[in-house]
Amino acid sequence: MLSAGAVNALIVELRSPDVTTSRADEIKSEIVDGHQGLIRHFIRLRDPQLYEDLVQIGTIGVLAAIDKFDIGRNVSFGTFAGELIKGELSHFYRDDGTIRISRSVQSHLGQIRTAQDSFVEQNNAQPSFSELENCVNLSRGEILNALQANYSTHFSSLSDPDLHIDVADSRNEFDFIDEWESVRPAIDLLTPLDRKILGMRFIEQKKQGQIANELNMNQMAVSRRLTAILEQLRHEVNTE
Amino acid sequence: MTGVSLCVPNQAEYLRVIRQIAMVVGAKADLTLEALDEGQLASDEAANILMKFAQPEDSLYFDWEAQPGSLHLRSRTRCLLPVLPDLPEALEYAWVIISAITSELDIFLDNGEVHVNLAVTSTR
Repeated sequence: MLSAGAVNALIVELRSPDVTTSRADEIKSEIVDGHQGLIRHFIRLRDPQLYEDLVQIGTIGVLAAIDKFDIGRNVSFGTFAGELIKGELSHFYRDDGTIRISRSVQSHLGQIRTAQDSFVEQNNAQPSFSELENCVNLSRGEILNALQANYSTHFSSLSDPDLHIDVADSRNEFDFIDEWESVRPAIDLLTPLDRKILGMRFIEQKKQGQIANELNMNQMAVSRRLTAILEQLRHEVNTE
Repeated sequence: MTGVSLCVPNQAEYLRVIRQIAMVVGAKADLTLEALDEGQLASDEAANILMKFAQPEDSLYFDWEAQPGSLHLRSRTRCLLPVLPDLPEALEYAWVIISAITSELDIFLDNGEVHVNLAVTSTR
């Protein structure tokens, strides 16, 4: 990542009346290239299948920041660009129909989650599929559709409360596991919560229900996070 | 009928179909939601293992079967290697994952085909 001073110098040069078009393009490319790490930081929780698209959207945020950045203000370009990258990504997720869950499916997911939580509270065990079917007023097809949406829609909103649970950084838990070597860079990009969930499931060998209980989450939320984490790790392996 | 068979080209875009079938057959087996999820993940990992050892033009074969409380998968493809490598080393983290979520796991070479057979069981 470019230093704050280097970015400021480049922006001053870019805004100079003497700058040529080709030099202006070079400067913008240099700033964008210097902020790829920042873009990746903000898209790390999202779907690997959309990774390239999201990098492009993050780049739009950096370009907007180059246009709008006020060097006189006491804030670094990185901080300012981060806000615009987040804004562009949120805008994309709000507007892109491919990731929207219909209101009816959201309602079905809510019913399933509530029924599952009540069952666990009463029976101290996860319901089987047929027990869940008996607890909700939904057809088997509606339940399967809703679950499919839950697993495939693991785009975490930046304001998802599940992502702000206070957990200690579990980065070191993976240090002694040789098998994780190829995905270590992807693990390093995970949030502390996601690293924690990954470690609890595959190192401590805890079931999703136990993890949910310990982290005060719903099992379906843990499942959603694990799906996203594992897809991210596979993406890392496939792009090596 | 409690089983489903599928043959797909060795292409990643079919993984979604594989996951969906695993979920529907898992529901027939009356799995918990957690086991349903892991049945999908295990089927997905099995497909990825087959893809690792298959030629690009090969097909992948899957047979799922629902038994009360457990989902069984038998899968295979033609193997490009004469012998399988050390699996934990070759599969790395995928080995850790598939070993953790399956109650039965058997990966072997037979008559030029690599087989990945597994089961996922509900635990209450």
